[in-house]
Amino acid sequence: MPASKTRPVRIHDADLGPLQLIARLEQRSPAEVVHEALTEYLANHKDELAEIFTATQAAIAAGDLEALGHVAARSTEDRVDAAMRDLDAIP
Amino acid sequence: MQEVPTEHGSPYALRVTARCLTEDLGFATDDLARPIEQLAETNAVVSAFLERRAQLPIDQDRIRGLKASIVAYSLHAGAFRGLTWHDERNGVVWLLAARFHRSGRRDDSYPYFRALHREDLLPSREDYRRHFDAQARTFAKALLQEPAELLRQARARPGGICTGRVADRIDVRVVVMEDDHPPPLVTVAFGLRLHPGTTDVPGDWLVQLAAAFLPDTPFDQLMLADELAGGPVRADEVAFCGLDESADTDY
Repeated sequence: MPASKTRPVRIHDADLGPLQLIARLEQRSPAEVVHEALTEYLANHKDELAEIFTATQAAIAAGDLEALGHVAARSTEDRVDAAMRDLDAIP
Repeated sequence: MQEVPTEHGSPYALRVTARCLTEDLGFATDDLARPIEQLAETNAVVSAFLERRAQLPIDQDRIRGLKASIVAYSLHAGAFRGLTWHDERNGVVWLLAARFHRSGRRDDSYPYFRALHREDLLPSREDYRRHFDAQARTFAKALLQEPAELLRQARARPGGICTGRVADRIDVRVVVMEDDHPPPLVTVAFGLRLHPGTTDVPGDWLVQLAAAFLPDTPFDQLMLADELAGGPVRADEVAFCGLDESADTDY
């Protein structure tokens, strides 16, 4: 991989060990492991991202508020789950 | 139930839990869909909640001894008392409970608040679902207008960074770079924090925003950007860029 600019990024404490282990096993830097993981994630989710992107463009062009709202509400259940986890953490 | 508009000075939402609205205040289940301003017209507790918590999400009269260790406050509304909680993470003030105040009596509001079990005291899944669905609708409405307006401003001064906050929730910086060969390049950076509160902008919304600011860019030509107008994209932003194919028609 050609040298490229890097930036610090925060990760979970628990992920540091696995990241360093994978980097040594693959004989790559942690930055390269993260880069490859991101590339793989984007490739695996390309169709899903493209669907959201094109559906939004089409809805905006048509002024279709209902369709835009439908796409925007896709994340609602995940957000509800996160909020309930926060509540569960309250003593 | 709609949020209090931010232009009224409250950057957070005001919501009544379904249990409080139906059991404590006697509203029908159908009323859960009504705007809070309408509910306030017929109920003194909701009216006081709207009026006072729109100005300040907390108060001085803290209620202790609840079955969940939240920082909750008493809301005075004539002979009634309400119990409110500023859920800072999600940017919402909840009216959790309300009761007639009879000092020293067993059925007084404060013993009632303290006796409520956690599942009756705190917002439910359904309460949060209503809240987030309402946010999604507000965000969708904003997508129809606000990105186009910010883009228009950015096109009017090429190379300059235009800033805004879409739906009063998501920080945006956008720049249109022109050179001798049209179409211009649009770069747009979105803040990752969802205002108000401390949660992250949903990933789907970031993709929707990119689509709104690059309405004619095919997905396979959409690129992630690490610079904006010659400066680095901030650590708390994600940025996209693409060619502004629609520029000529919108100038």
